[in-house]
Amino acid sequence: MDAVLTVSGLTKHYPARGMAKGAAIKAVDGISFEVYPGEVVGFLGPNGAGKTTAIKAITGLCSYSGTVKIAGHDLGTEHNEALKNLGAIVENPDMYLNKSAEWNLKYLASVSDEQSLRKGFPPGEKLGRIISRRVEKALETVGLKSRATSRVKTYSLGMKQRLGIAQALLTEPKLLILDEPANGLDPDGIKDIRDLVRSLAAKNGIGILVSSHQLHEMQLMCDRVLIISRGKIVADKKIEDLARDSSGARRITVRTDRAEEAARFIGEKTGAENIVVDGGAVHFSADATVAEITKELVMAGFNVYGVSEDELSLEDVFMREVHSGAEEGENVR
Amino acid sequence: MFARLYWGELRKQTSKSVMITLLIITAVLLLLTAVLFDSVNDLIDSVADDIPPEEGIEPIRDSYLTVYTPQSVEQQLTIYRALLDGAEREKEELGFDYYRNPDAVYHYKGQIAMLEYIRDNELYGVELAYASGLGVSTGARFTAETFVTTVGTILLLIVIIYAAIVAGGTFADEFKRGTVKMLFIRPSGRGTIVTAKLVSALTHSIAAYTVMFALTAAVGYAVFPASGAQTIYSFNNSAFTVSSSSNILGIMFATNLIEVLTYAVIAFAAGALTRNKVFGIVAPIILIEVVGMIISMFGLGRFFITDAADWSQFVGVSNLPYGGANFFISLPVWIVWTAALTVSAYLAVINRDAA
Ligand SMILES: Nc1ncnc2c1ncn2[C@@H]1O[C@H](COP(=O)(O)OP(=O)(O)OP(=O)(O)O)[C@@H](O)[C@H]1O
Ligand SMILES: [Mg+2]
Repeated sequence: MDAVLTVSGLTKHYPARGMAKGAAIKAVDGISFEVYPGEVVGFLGPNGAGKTTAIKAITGLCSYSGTVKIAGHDLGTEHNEALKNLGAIVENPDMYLNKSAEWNLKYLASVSDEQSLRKGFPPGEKLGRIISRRVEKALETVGLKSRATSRVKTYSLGMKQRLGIAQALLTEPKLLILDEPANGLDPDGIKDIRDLVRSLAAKNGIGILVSSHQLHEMQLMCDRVLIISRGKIVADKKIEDLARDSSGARRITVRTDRAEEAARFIGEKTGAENIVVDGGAVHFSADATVAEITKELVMAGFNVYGVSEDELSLEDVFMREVHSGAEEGENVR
Repeated sequence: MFARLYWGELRKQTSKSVMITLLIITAVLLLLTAVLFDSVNDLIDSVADDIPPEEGIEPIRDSYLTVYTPQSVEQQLTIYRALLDGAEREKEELGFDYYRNPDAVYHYKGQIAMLEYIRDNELYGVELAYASGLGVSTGARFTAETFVTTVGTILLLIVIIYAAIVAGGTFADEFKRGTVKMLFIRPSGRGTIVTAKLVSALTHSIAAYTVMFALTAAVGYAVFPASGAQTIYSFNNSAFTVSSSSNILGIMFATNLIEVLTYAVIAFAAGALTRNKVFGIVAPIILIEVVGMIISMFGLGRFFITDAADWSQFVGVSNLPYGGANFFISLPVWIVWTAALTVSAYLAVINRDAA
């Protein structure tokens, strides 16, 4: 199957003001990846990692180097053809707040291309009718039909996010890009969006790129995650492969009273790797069994409250990939 | 694609509150001016009635109309030729400094050309009024023509502000709200969006000025008598014609409209370049006037857009455009400036990062 989004060597540098001459903020630094139809790909990274910048480049909002292809069309050379296949929320859902949801969607339709609007409608159908039908359908999909005529100003954050998705879905694009769609939503709202995203991918075969720094959410929503840190993709993993770390070792968590000391002890005694202390918990990768580790700790005089073998969570991958090696700070070189 | 974008922009740029404000301002202006002018007319009438008609003294209500005789034309020609001589000598002495002041040579040449036109066409013994960029002299009493042209000149300023709000705000608003991203990820192309926005802002400017001018004309002709006096029209001090004073309305409408559209383009470019409402709306009007004044102090006023956009100064012989200006200099200067501003707006929107 052909990729609906192909990004290769995407780079975006901003001039670094007030820093050494010639220095640049490498907001996005040569990233490459693909998104396939029906696939939900997570774009995960800490604040300032370059997620929004990459999305701005992919949606043609800023200049970039490298290539971006949407549904086979090069964004650089076939700008409009490429954009015909795209629906997106970039940074925030953008809308005219003094107007209703219906107005916003109708307006958006009026600035969309006729060919995309007519797709799937019988030829000869009046464009006005098509637009009304599309608007209605988009509102229905995101569950905003009952408030369609109230001003967007009066909407809650979650309703605005949903209207943003309705805007992105209006022309039934092959590629949907959502920049932090769960931003500011309550658990119910997040679940709604997750279900919507999953069903759009599964039922409509849309390729979806979602950015977020909500690790747990990404794990539930995505088929695959790209971890981006300081402008570079540091990991590209299928969710089902997350259960193991790169060496294939198990992840174990120990809860104890003297975590720091225990961490050192475990490192010496079992040759554990990737040891992370988090409050009273010590996480590490090791080949030893839970029973062995418990025994060693108790014999060494630690108060052990719990030892468990965990599934390797996205959080662990995230912490490991983002914080491994390189020092903290701005991505300025 | 363009047509749908254009209609969308037209609707978006329509602000009910701004339009209502505009209408209220126009209504108040019309009312106050009508009341003021009407009472002045009453005053003139009562004074005129008190003066018994006397042989050799023309009635006061027609005092701005001129009746030429062959002798008076020759007399004035002699005077203006002498004045032109003096002005030309001064021009030589001043050198480049001459261009810092209004152009006396142009002015006197115009007066002479007009007198020669009167002589050649033997317009003797007829009551004549003059048209100028600011209006028409149809006698001491206010007439429909003087009312419309006076209010029209004030309206020009108001409509320029309206045009600047619409044209200067159109991109600034979109950038501020972030909706520019939503627009730019649609497959219409940024160039088409710029065109739609510009044409729509110009449509708004034209519509606003047309409606306000039409209202003014309606009130003017309803409240005051039409003069219809035989009026000398001149263009660029070289072409002359005599026709009804009411034709000044069409001329004023056209020249003012050029000015409104020019300021709309200036504001549009400023808004697109700065993406900021204050710079898009307020700055162009103030800044460009200040810059225009400074430039004309250096004797280059005729090459700046503010002067080149004021075509009314080439109507009538009583105007004093900046040194060296005439319509055939202003026209290319105006074209170059408006084209440059429009192109820079396009380039700024198309080439710069939208977010
Ligand atoms: N217009 C700009 N000019 C200069 N630097 C910028 C600009 N936009 C972004 N940056 C820088 O690029 C880097 C990446 O920013 P970006 O907004 O893409 O991060 P992000 O991953 O979306 O973060 P967040 O999770 O906070 O939304 C940051 O260091 C930021 O300061
Ligand atoms: Mg972001």
